[in-house]
Amino acid sequence: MRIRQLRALVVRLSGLFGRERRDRELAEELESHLQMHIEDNLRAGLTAGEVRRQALIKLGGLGPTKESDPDRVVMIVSTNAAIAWGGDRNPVSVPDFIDWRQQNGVFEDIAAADAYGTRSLTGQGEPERVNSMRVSASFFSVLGVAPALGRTFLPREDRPGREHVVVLSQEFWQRRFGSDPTLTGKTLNLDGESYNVVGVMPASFRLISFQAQLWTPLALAPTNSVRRRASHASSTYLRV
Amino acid sequence: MLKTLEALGPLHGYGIARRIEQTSGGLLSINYGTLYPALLKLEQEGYVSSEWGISDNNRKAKYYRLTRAGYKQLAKEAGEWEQTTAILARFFAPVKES
Repeated sequence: MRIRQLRALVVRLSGLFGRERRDRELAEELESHLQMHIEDNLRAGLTAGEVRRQALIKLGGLGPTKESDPDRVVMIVSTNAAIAWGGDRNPVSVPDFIDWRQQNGVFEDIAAADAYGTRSLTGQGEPERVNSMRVSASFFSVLGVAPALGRTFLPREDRPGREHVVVLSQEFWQRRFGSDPTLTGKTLNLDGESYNVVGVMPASFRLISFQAQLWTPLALAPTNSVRRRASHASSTYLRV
Repeated sequence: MLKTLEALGPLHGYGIARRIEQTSGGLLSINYGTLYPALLKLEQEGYVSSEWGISDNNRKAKYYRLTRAGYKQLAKEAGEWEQTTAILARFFAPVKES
């Protein structure tokens, strides 16, 4: 009993005077723990990128959230091996995107957006040409932004024939609809077709190159023609 | 944790956590973030001691071992636990009185 008390006293005293050393030792101990966990995860077959993340989550050094981590999003471009000199950066073709999405075992998720376009809004008030983008259902979650109102697209809405839903930008929602909080569930007329409003994105959601006022689902039809594989018209984002 | 150290001898924190998870058949999942504060507390109470060593795969790791006081404490707590579960078992056992 006396030895235990003496030992405890020594440990506490050294803790009192050697706080810096103790912190350094704890940091080393945690790093050693992390490395052992990473090695085990690697043996368990996790991908190299995922092992450290998983080990950190378990140790409590990292939350399993993905919303606030834009550094993990990359945009991919295609290159054409037949062109030997510069300027070779093309969007990804539709069949490539579909294949990568199906065969993806590396990236957390993958999203695509079509070349930018405009839609004609008619039906209420003055007709208007509106900047728009067609995007995959995963687009918003890959970029890590949640809607300010309502929701974004469901996977089942990202299919031909089901894609008559629309998400609005906050700016457009304010300007054109007076920030009507009951707008979700109502319909808009775009290019003569009726679209159900499902959500509004926050004002902070903007792409550098192009500010869309509304988004509709990409709704890609599965296709495998060589010609379409060579048609590079969609931008693809990966979350790694 | 004391029981694990008794069963396996000196072990690093990661090994202790994995052993507890394995022994429980995955039913107990250790929050690794609370593991090291708990070990520090045991060390401050004098039930374990620690020293740096080299792990199986040549990594520097801090190894914990039971002290004499740790063995005693373990025996005491194991006894208390057995008594507690025995009492509870009597409440859940079918009544045999007639």
